Amino acid sequence: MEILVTYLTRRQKGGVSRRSEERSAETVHFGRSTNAEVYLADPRIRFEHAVIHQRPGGLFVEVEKLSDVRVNGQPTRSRPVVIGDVIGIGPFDVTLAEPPEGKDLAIEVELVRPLGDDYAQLAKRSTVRLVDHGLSRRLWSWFGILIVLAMFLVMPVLFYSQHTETTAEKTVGARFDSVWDSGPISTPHRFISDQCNLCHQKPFVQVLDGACLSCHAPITNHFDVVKAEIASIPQFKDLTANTCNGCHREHNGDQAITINKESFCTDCHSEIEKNLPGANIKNVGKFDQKHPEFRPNIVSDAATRTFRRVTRDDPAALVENSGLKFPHELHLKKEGIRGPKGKETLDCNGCHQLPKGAASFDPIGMEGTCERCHQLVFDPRRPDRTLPHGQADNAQMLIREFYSDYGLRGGMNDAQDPAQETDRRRPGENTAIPSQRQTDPRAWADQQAQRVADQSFGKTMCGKCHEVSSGPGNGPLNWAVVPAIVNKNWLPRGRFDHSAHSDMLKCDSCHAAENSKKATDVLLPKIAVCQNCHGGESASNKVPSTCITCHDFHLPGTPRMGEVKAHGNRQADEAAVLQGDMPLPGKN
Amino acid sequence: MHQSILVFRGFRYLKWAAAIVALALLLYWIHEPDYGVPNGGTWLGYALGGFGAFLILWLMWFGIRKRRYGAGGAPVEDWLSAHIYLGLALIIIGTLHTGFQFGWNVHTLAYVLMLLVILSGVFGLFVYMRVPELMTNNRRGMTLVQMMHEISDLDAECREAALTLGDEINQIVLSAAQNTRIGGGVIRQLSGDDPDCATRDANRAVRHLADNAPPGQAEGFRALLGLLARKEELLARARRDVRYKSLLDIWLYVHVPLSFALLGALIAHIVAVYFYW
Repeated sequence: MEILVTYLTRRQKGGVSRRSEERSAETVHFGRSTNAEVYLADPRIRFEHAVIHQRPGGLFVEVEKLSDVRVNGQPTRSRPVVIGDVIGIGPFDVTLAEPPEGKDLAIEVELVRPLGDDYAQLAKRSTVRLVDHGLSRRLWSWFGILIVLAMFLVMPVLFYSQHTETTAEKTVGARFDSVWDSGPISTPHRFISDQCNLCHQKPFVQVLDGACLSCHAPITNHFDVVKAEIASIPQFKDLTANTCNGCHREHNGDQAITINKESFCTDCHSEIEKNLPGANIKNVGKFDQKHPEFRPNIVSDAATRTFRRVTRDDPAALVENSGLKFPHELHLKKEGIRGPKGKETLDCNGCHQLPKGAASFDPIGMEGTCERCHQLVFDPRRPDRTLPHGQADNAQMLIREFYSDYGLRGGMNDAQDPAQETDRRRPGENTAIPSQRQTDPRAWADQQAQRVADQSFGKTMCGKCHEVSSGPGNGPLNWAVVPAIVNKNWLPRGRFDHSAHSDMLKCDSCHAAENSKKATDVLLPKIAVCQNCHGGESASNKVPSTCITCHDFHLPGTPRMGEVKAHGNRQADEAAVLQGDMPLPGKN
Repeated sequence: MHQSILVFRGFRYLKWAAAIVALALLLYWIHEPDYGVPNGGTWLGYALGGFGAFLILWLMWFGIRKRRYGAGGAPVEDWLSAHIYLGLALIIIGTLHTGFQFGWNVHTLAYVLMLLVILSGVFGLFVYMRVPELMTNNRRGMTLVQMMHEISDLDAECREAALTLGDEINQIVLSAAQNTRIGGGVIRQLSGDDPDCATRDANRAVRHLADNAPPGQAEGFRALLGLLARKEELLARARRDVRYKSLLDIWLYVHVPLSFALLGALIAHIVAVYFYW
């Protein structure tokens, strides 16, 4: 079988170039094999792709296994073909043309589906720039800024505009303004920490005093603002113009809600003697350098109940006239002191009781303390009968009534009457007639009562501890006792917590009681004793202590803070908020 | 002569930034806050916050300034050098402004966004200092397009070389040409590798087939394997180039959008502070 194979190539500019080859074979092989009669150079073509046989019935196409062949578009494995058929072999179209003279078969081959441009395809498959993924810095930037503004600005503002409650409530659902929370609220205020608008009542206005005073209405001022001499202090206006948040700041957790700088106080108090001469307040500077010595408030006269303040470092003036005679030294003797059941050694706590956690000791008094040893028994025959303490007149009446009753019931002739032995008439002392020969019970009772009263009040009982006086008109039996004043607070303007110190200090660390021989001694330590442990506000080797460690700003007895009207342009805001006189949280 | 942006003008902007940081640290050290707790609400807190906000706006202005090619004033190199050093200084300024008070709120959000922006900037700086040299070395005078052209040419050569070999080889070579990709998704571009590389698979498969090839085809196999190896090497370089380029680009997709998120948080932070004064 003579075959003419023509390879057609279409030019880019149009037209077709033809290259013909002549073959002679019984079977026409199509494939990539160089032995193939029709050589198809393309990787998509199999080595032996298909064959065409000459059979008695005509031409037959046979397709090799796995190969892809279409005859006139119909996939086939084996079928007859005739002149004019187009056989699709891979990317080639093979046309059976009319054979020219002398040829049995004419085959035209054209690559109709070329592989294409490798580079273009590679470029198409490859993504080599990030921007090709639709990434856009601009788009993401808009997204970022808008989502943040929506969540953290618009939502909270909308939330604020919808919530105007003025009382503490249990909050339900999300509080969108909580994202504005600038820090933890202090523990006492935490119960309203969910409700920002309880304190932040007006946007872009600092927290108004009305918000604070709606709960803290009774809080008092630092001074009496209506006093003219105070109003003339240069700093006065600053202080009255100040609002609560001038000194108190929230959202710092439990660390600090109150301004604690020494300078806040010393701005005024470093020159207070000049600015407020009549106030009897000393200039003060830094605690560790310029704090004045303590000036305890001591009893100057117990009889008239008058006090005065004297400086701690003036021993001549430091005399507490409490009306008591009490030597600490005697009671604290290491070898002991006679008690109701023999010798015993006392310590401070034997008399001074500090309730657990209390700042101050219980007031000390006869009852429950002194009376354990100092019993007011006036007649040894009747130790169950005692004089009432603190009632001098009553006690004298009791003595007289006791002996009147005793005499009436025959006591005059009591052989055990101790008076019988002690009854001596000394010149000028007692005009009464010796008793045992008396037969008048009244005279006997009067004489007995006076004798016992003179002993008890004068020496053995009352006079032992108290300042006493005798003479006509002083009392039923001519005796009077000066009411004692036990000073409860030497430092009325300061705070001292004994409990806070008792863990690490002993009493005699500060109070020199063991050497105190007189009740007039003031056992308050000097401030230098405090300064052993306490330094100024920025002390690093001592306990940092600032003014408000010991002193209060809001002093008792001064007008309420709410009565001081704010100055300046805050007044209008304040008035607007205070108009409704906000109720206390939790109450409507 | 080229000078690193870091040593630019004898570290002029490093000195500026260091001076600002030193001043801020000094003030923070000597400052005694009224309530004993450093926070954004003290005078120093306001000062640091105000300066920090100004710095953020000024640093963001760089994005506009760098596009204004004809703009007068300091050259853009000055701007970039200052942008880097003052941006780093902002870490200290911003941290001191917080007074080390953090919480789940817009204020800390702004701070965290600020740190992320700076962190991405530091990454960008690192990339810009390191990658261009690697990129130049990797390219060996070629562009990525040239590499891809050469890869395509190799594909054609491979096909030709395979024509005399078996059907399976031809399928493999065709697949290597038709399925090999450079780059791809963001992760793939950044990785500089393609674990499913068709050419690598083809190379391995052909090498395997070559072991059992009839002796007559040895020459053909050797030629094909040579071509495939060369293609694979070129592909690796091309992918590395894509990786380098994407590294130079990717951080800006974080840096810029986060900057704007920071701007939003900064606005919300400032408004919030005064809204609930």
